[in-house]
Amino acid sequence: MATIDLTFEEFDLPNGLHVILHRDGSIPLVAVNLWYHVGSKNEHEGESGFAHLFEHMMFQGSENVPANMHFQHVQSAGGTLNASTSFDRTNYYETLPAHQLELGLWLEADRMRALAVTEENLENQRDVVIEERRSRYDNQPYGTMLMELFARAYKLQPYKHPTIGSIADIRAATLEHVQAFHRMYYQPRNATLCLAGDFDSNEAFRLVKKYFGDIVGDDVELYRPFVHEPPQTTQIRDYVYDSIPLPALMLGMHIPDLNHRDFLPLDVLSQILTSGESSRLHRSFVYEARVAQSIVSYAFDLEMPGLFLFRLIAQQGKSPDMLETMLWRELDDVRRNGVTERELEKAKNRMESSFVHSITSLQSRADMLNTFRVLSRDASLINRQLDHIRAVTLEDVQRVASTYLTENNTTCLYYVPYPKQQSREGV
Amino acid sequence: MSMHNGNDPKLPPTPGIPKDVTFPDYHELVLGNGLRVLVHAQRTLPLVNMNLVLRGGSSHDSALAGLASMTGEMLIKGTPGRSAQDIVEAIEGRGGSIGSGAGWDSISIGITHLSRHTAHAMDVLADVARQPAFQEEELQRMREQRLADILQEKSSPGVLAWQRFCAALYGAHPYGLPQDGDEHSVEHMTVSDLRRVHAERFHPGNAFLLVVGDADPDEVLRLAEQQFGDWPIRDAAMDGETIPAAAEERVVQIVDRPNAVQTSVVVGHGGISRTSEDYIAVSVMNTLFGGYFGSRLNLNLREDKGYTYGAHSRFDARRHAGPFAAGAEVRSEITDLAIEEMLREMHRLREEPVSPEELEHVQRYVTGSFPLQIETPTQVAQRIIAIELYGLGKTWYNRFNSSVMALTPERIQETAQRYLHPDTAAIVVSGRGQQLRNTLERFGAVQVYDTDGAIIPDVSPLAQDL
Repeated sequence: MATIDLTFEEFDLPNGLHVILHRDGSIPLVAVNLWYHVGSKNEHEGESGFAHLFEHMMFQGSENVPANMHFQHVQSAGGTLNASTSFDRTNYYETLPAHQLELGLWLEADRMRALAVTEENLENQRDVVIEERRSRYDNQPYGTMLMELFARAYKLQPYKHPTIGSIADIRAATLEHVQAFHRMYYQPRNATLCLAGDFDSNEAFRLVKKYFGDIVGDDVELYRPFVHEPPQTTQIRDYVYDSIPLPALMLGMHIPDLNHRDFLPLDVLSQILTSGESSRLHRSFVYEARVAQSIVSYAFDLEMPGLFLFRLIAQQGKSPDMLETMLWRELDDVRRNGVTERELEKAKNRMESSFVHSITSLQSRADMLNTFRVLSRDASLINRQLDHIRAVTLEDVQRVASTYLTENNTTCLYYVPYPKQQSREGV
Repeated sequence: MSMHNGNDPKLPPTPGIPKDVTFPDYHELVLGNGLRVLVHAQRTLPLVNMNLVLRGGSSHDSALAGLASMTGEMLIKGTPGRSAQDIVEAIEGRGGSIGSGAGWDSISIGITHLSRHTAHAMDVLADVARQPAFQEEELQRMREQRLADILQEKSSPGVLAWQRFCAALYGAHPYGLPQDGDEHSVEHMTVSDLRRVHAERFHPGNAFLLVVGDADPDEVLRLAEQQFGDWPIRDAAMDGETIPAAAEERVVQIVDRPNAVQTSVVVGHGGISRTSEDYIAVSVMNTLFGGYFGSRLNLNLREDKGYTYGAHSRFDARRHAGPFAAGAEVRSEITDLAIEEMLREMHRLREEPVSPEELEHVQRYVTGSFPLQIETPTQVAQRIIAIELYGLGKTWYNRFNSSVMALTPERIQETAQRYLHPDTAAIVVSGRGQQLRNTLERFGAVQVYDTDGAIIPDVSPLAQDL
């Protein structure tokens, strides 16, 4: 078995910024990866999409970096950059030639210290984000399945609204709100900076202090929702029309948060069921019965209780209800009889290589360190993750299948093509 | 704020001293039967990626669209000793993954696995490459999968616009056909078609084996000898490949998606061959035009106008000149304005020399991000494959940076004049046909297609009134 033994140092600046330094000199690059512990779950009702829209605003100018200059600086230094927003966190990252580390720190510190955006920038990015929503969700076949499922599965939790937000809420965002959001969440004590790559640790430590040390955060209480979703007791069912040629089935079951002891067994279960062509359900649905064109499952790794989901796209002539019947039969088998030793071993092997794969590049390694630090409070879990996967037993897998993959704990969604004449006329 | 460097905190810090980066060297070995074995050892993580690459890909598919890719995919669907399920199980069971398929210029099989399983992976690789069973039952399974995929693609706005664009440029040449085939070709593909492709292309003289990652070259050579040493030499001729000729006149085509909430736009024409001497000049020009976040297209359409989430362009350089395409998914109501901006940017690059500052910015981006292009074993593998496939020579990537830095504003302008043709560019979109028909008329005569490729006549009475 592969062992992961990454070395890194951690420290906190007096202002609360947490810093992780991971040195690897094999290629002269450095990854700057900055996490803010805020995502769409911090949004209130009517504010959906705000955390993500705000992420766009972080490229629209800060005290010493005019709008659009952030990426110009990075790119003309030979670097690449991006940012992303999820339910639980927002990350910003640059990968730079090693001798440009200081530039990355200067840029991130400047926009942490003082955002300087205008009404005009906000208007522009509002349009961009609305087009982003259309490109990635509304105008994509099956693109809205996940948001439609989450919207029905949760009653109270903020995960019920999508990170991209609703168009109405995106339109309603104001500049004052942008500034207030920055004051509350974009301060050192809500941020974790991970540097990975070719640098001298003492020098990196000095530079981090130089650029981030004097940033003073507001002394406000961070809004951290912790909503107890009442346990689901009866199945939720619905259907949605979409511009799709083949119907689809999506199921979501409530599961615990990613730090719960049942989470890894659920992740292993998902691997056993659908990861790879030799997986149990790929084999039965796609290869043998040929009733589905594809099947995927996923245990959502979230800070608050997430969902275990299945998505199946039907083969031509097959219906979502026959897929559903067959799926429940398969799940019932897992609940009653568990899985085999061989299946468990294979899933662990696959998870081992995909974990190793996921830390191949400096940037993904830095992001992984931040993931463990921010969402599980301990960066060193990166070195123990494989042991934890290895420790999952056959009993664990059967237990979590029986506990969570039950009919009453399920939200079930059928996606069906528009009736013919309706699709011709448009809506 | 401390001022160790004496920097003005308002200005970006002075960079340190760049380190030299060279394209990693790799071992080139040859078996007795002529099979080339290339090994790049990068032993930081316990992973190995191996690829067997055969020359000749989808660009040979003149008779039957999708044949190369079907042959590629079917390789791993059974051998005399292993069923399709045995093959995936053999690799996935040990934590690896296996895939096979075709590009425009090659068919390949790739396996990624943990390094302790290299011998086993090589055994599977040789088995599927040398004696695929091509059983009718497995082919029928693949046909059904493909037909469902093809059906699905008809609801994907980007794919619809792209396929129509390729058809508009290249007609019946394979460059104009879907790489995975269409309903007709998929239905009609037979086991003997696949066997013919296999017989033509799968022999040591037409192949190379590339192994990257946590591998020892001597050990790789030993295993390759064991698995491929007795692979018979064959003197097989490949099906002829015709040279593609892209159309050189303006067409305006719409694929109608009545429920679309956005328009997918593709504007472009014929491009450049990967082996062309102008390749580097063209790729730097394209980077500046639409090849990165700070490009003219993206700054104009996204950051200035807010028409789109992203606008980009690309020269698809294959053995022969593949398409140049600028694209974006834009708000339906401003589709015509977005197209106008794309054409305007093409004209501007032809007519005005770029400023030395803008060029330098792009040069620094392209050369500076070079180490990022060769960070992981897989990235290195892709580049070694390009060197081999297109005969670029082992030093190509090491000359890359100096060639980029040698470009001048004049050279970029000449390159734009030679390789960008706004007046004859094809304009293809997918979106709401009835609305778009009228607004796009000013670019030329408009043809509207349904998602099955049939022409929809202009019957709307409104069309005449407006």
